[in-house]
Amino acid sequence: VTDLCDLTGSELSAKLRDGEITAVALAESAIARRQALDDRVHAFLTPTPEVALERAEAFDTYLASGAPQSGVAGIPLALKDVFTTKGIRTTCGSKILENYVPPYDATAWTRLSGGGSVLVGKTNCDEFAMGSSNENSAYGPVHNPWDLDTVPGGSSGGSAAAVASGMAVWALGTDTGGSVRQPASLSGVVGLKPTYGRISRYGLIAFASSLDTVGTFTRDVRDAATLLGVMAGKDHRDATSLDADVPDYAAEIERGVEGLRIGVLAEAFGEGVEPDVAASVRAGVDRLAALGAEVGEATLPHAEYALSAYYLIAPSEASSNLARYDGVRYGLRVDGDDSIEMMFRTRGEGFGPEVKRRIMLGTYALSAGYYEAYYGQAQKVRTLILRDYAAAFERFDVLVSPTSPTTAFPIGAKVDDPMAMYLNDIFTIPANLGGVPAISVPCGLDSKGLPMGLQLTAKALDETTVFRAAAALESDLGLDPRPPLLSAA
Amino acid sequence: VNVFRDDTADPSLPHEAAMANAPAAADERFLVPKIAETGS
Repeated sequence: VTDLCDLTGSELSAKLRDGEITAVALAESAIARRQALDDRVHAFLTPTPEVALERAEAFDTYLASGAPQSGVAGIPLALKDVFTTKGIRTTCGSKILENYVPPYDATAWTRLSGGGSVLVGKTNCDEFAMGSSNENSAYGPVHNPWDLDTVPGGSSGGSAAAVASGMAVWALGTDTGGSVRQPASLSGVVGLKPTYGRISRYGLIAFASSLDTVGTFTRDVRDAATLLGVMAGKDHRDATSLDADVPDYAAEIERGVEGLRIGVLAEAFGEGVEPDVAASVRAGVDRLAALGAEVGEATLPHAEYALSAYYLIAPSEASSNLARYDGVRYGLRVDGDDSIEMMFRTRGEGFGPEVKRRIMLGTYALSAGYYEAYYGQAQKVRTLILRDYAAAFERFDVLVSPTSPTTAFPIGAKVDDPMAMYLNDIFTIPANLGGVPAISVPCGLDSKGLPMGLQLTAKALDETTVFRAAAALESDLGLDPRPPLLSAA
Repeated sequence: VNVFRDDTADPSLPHEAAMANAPAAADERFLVPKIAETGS
């Protein structure tokens, strides 16, 4: 059975415009899906059905007046619980912000909201977006709709699961080292990480400021282009947001890949990559070649150091960003006899183990005497990776690799082994260090019936080419991946 | 590269909204436990 909430944003937008459906009926469909499934999936931390219905009603009234319609208007959206939403609790998946109700909206949300987006809720995530399995959420893990015993990926696991299971038509996440692309891959949806600075980070609760990127979860590439078009652009509240023209992303996605130069990253098919994943990505490349792309072998010679550099840079920035949670101005306070004891207790009880691990790693890497040896070296690696990308993009328009070396793994399988967990992001981290846009697009199911993703990367601000290649592959493969959970429902 | 914008003032968060999440507040100020001994 296909309900309204199973369609794509562009399909629904057309139906709303033609008066075939109402936004209220659409919102009700997504709400009903959540009520039916979320006790098993646990994608949402704070559902907002009242907000959704109120906004949907307002939209239906507005549309009846014949006013022009944005592509996001009336469509049910979920937000990862790291975007501040005025008057709606925002936890970051952490106990330290359990009762935090932001007094302002994140710009990404403001822009979607201004376009008539219908918010259905705030989604579960790894605490402060630190994790690759969603098991670091202080509120319990998310279960992958494809197999409830496995993880949906992370850190934006709730957003990925919500879109995969129709509890939202699309969702926002954040991608600091792969936190949109990896869960998209493991959950069988499209995950976009745009160029660093393409979307304002204002109101996005900071993890690692030089890497944090707002990203999207959608059921097809066109929807990702629609969302990016609405959110992209300069925001005077975020000095790192780019003042570059915002093209009509959706206009060019059907241009095809004829003549496009596609580089296959040789190093991305080595040890640790599941054979099904490698085979499926190679098959995807063959399809792109058959569609007229020129395929060659590419390399990012310093990508092997990316993971190590990332785990110095990201924790360093996190240790500084998370210093603000001191029990004084907002968030949890655990009382103590004096202020220092109050702060020790607040942070000791408020943060979970992975967040503490990264704060300690970062504080150490930035400490006097070690700064050059760790943080300084990592920044040099980052420069080398930027040069690798520059060289690769002289020869190629798009680079291809698997998004994640594996498909979804069982809940609990890697929680005691941080290194094994960190390796999930080995193919996604380089794009964050380089600031370049990348997308994960579903490329099939493995022998266990779990989704796999193919990653396409282009040079900075060239999202258009990423969309072109991704849409060509998507259309050629003609997959319509629906988790078995939906057929059983 | 320097990027400049006009030096225009925007309205900022109302005092009350900014204080609303404070675990403890008094007289429009954040309240914390004592930070030093008061002397013996």
